[in-house]
Amino acid sequence: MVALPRISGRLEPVSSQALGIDALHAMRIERRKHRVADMDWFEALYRVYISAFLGGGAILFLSGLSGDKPLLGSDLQNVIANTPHAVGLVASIVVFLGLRSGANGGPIAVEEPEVRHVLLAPIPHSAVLRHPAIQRLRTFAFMGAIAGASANQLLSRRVQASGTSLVVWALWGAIAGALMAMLFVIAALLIHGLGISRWLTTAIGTTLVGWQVAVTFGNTNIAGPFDFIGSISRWWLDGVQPQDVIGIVVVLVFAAVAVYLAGNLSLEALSRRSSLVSQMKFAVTLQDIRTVVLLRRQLSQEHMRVKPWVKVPRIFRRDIIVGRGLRSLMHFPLRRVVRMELLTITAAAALVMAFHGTSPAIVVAGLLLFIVGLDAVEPLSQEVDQPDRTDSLPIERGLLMTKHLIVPAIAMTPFLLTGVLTAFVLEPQASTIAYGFLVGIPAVLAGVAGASINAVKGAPDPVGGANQGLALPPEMSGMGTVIRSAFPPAISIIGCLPVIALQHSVENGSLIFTNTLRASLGVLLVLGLVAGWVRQRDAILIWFRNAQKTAQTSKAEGN
Amino acid sequence: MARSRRNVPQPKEHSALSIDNVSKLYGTAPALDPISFDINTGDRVALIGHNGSGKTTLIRIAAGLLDSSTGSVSIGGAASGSLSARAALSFIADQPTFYDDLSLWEHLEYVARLHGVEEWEQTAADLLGHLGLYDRADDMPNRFSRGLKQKSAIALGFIRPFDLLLVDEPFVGLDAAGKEALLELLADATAHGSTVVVATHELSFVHTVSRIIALRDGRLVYDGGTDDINVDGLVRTEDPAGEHDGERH
Repeated sequence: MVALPRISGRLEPVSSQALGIDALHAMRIERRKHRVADMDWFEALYRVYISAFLGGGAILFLSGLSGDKPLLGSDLQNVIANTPHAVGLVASIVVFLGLRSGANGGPIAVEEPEVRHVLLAPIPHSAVLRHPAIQRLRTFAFMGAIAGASANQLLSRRVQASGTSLVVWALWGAIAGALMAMLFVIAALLIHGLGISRWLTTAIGTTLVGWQVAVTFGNTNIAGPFDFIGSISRWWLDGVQPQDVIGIVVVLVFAAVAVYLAGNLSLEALSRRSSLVSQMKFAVTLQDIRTVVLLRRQLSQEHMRVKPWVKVPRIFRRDIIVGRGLRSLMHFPLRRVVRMELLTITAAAALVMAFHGTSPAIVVAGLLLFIVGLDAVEPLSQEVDQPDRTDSLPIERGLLMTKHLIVPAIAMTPFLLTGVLTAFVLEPQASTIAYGFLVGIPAVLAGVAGASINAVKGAPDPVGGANQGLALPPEMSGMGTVIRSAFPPAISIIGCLPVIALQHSVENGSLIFTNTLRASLGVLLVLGLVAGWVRQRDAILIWFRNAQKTAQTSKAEGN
Repeated sequence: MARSRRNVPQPKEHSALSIDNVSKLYGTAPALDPISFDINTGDRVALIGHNGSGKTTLIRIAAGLLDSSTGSVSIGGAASGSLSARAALSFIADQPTFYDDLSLWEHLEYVARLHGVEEWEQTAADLLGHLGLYDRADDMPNRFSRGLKQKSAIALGFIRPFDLLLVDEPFVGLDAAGKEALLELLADATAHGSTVVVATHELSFVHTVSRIIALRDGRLVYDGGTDDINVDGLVRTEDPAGEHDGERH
């Protein structure tokens, strides 16, 4: 054992501050150099190539879908007149989510050691946290710009008479999208930095969304708080509008204030988020949706209710698996139920848009119902999360999982009603209710089916995945992983296809009910197959493995 | 004429750590009932209590990593979380965390320089030698075993100057040599005038302290010296106050 080091006698913080900040900057530069040096450029370029290939392909595919029916006459006028309000409504929801994120400790997540070693050092927090705040703003602005540009160029396919180049369409869409995404970060930073309580945050957010909803659906000349973003996305028609430029300046001023307040962020929230966000990033890399859902709940501190809403009556607990599922639902927190309702309302609105000719909206509706399904299949997911316990039960795994589908399917009833009501509000005709159910039933059940597939197949195994057995080359292996991940949401999207049948039948004016019913029954047949797959999955896997072994043995004997 | 020293106001003597009516709620669940106590400069204190008693919550609030629901914490008279408090306080957490991309030696340099220490190399070498980590200086601590991680965290806690050392369960995962090395470091810290507060069940440390603070279910159940109490019983029992309140020898 060597001599004890000299450890006591602290320096004054005033003298250490400048040194500490220098050390912080020097180490950040050094770490960036390490990262660049360690980067596998071939791997990075390959990822960019795959992303561009898939992203570009998706945009081209969606463009093709939307290009089939140009907007003309009153439809075009309708879109032009409502764009500021409608885009503003989306922006208000984004701001609401940003406000909630701030109240839950977002939007920044620094590394855990950064909290422990740097934020506990005598250096102003602003010197440490402004950098990640600006980074977050920059990243969101970039992603928003891409989304906005894509959305606007999709719209341009349906407005053929505009005579505006695609680049200009994309540019205005990119500015609107960037502003919208920046508002998310700004809202979160302001709420977190000012330490505004959760209830007040919800009140502010609800007021903003309510205001925007009122101007969007009400017959009024009052402008909504976020109309200027929609107006910017419409500059292809009006040209640059001075009042919208003022809106941009206001957003930038708020951005500066938000970055200034980054030094006030709570260490407790940063500490909690740091480990969760790094786990979430890893789960996203593995495309492990279940883990992402669980971590997101932890991040937003969404806990199950201790006291159930209602005690499940004994009669419903005769089958213990069904009873267990119902009990789980009774512990759902209010915010989860509200979120599921809001997602359903948005999905229903997207289906109405699809009915009016914007066919890609079924992708949005399908994805939203898939997310609702992820919450609804919680009892099933909990079962899958505990494989040891499941395996120890004296019941076949497939049967157990199939029985767990009953409760989520029933649980979608109130959401189905909400969806039909939303459709009726947007299309106030008696036939809307009948067709709402006809389209809505397969859509909500497909949401559950997609989520069930995702839950039952479990987390991907990066080492011993199915690809390994298939001995695929790396390119095909990566593609296989993407397909496996995309399959569950694809089932949910397929569930929304009857609305396309309805739209085409209405256009052709023949056999509307029969065609829609056929499409819905077709989807229900697919969902039946999904239930069968859940029931027989283990048997199928065993059969497949045995077949593989037999083939390998035969090959070896042949040699 | 020089002013008489007697007329100059004397600086106010602050406690090394002052906990004033501090409580913590997680949602609606209370983790810590309102607690108040002061720890004087140079004291050597053991914070004890069974699992879930609130030790880690209290120590993290004192370190500024958790916001208290009520009350306030001050370190050497400065509010917890302020620059002055952060300069005075060294915190060694129960779960060590390290950067993925820095070696142990680079961690030591970083932490030392963040705290304004320019001549850190010799201290770092001495610390690593003392903890038996000298040969691992260029390795990545994030890949170490639990025990080596704990030793690395201890080295990071001691590489920078401090007036108050808060340590949460530091003996977990340490081998006999590691425990001995840590006990020597803690003794040296108090010998040089620093205040040391350690949340632990380690009897070899608890026997050396001047004061014990015991928590149970988020409440302060014992705060006093070690001379007039059965220390072993107090540490070992799961219900220190219930069994040992008043059990003074």
